[in-house]
Amino acid sequence: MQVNEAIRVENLSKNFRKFNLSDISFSLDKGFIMGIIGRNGAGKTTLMKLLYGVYTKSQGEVYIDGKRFYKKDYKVRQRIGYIAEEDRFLLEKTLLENAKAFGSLYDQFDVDYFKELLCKYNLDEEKTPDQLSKGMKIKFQLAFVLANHPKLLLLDEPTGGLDPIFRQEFLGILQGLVEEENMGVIISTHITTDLDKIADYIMILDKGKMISLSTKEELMDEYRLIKGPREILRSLPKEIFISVKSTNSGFEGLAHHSKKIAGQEEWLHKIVIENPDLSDILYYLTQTSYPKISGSS
Amino acid sequence: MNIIISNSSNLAIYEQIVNQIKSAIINKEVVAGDAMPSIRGLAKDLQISVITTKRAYEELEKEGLLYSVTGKGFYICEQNTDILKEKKISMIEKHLQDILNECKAAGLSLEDIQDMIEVLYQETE
Repeated sequence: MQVNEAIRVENLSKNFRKFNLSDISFSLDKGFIMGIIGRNGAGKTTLMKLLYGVYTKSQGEVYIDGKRFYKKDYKVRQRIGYIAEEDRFLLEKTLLENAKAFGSLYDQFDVDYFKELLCKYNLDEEKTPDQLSKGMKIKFQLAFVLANHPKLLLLDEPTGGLDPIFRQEFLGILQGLVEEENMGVIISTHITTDLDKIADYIMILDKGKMISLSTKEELMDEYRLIKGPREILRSLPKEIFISVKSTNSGFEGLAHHSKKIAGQEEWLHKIVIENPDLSDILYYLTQTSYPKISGSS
Repeated sequence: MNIIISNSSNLAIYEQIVNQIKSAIINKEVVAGDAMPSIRGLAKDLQISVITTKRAYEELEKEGLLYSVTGKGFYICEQNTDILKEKKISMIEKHLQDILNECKAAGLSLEDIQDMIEVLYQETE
């Protein structure tokens, strides 16, 4: 039976000694891209490893392409393509030899398609992994996982250390892929500018919990960045702000985009209202006090 | 048809797309029956989410400016020129309101504004 969902997660939790990932629930349809953002240590990599079955869950359910996924279920696991910083390839063997060696571990590895993708990404199958630049290595990893025709791609910090030009190219490839391959893609990254553009959905993790899950559009629409002179700060209704920071040059805070802002005409012309980007939203939503005025007041 | 998105606009991205397509229709840059770029194609070109392009197209469909054919995409509807003109005028009114707000914020009086309009209008004759 064909399902639309690339992945469905219900109340997923994982308990470690000093860290807990709690109650993660979401689903992603094929053809769409979800970005997971959060500060370092929020649990992004833990979640990705949990979804791929590297860790065993403590609670909850994961369904990949409609099939319930247990850690040892290799058949279901093969529907996932996983790319992370660590590469496990043999440096002395060529790309093609690597693909054939590791590919044989999978039921459906399509060597012809792998070669086709190498060609498309301008990679020489006779080269060895240590001869590749960082960007080329990511493309090689991509070609390798795609040759397995996965229904879900899990990318953990795929663009770290890559130049902006390459990142743009890579994101373009991903956008094309979700449609051509009819798969879902989950990217966990701290490079929020990449997600500002292509993500369809955004999940924000903080201290092991989901603090936000929505379409990127709704998330961007929901908040506004308000900047203004510090003297005004005291006369603004405190409930407006999620969180505020203040310096000698002025204040800046994140607020819900609602009528409350539009109503206060007297100070409206003294402030600047802007659209936040994901890094602003992440910053203000993860400040621990609410609303906080930091810096000298 | 060109669609240019600004990150620093007050308008949400889907609204910018809607407005630009509306302008293209009103200015007759596109005509009835013309095919729009696919939802995914447009998303890829503009480097934005397909959810945004889909929302823009659906918004235009609701307003009767586009129609969709399942499996094929979105197309420009036959337009009634009176309705188009009305839409153009209401768009202009919206711009004017924004400008008037800025004028008031800058402390201009109605007379100042009227003078400014006269001067600029004559300059463009």
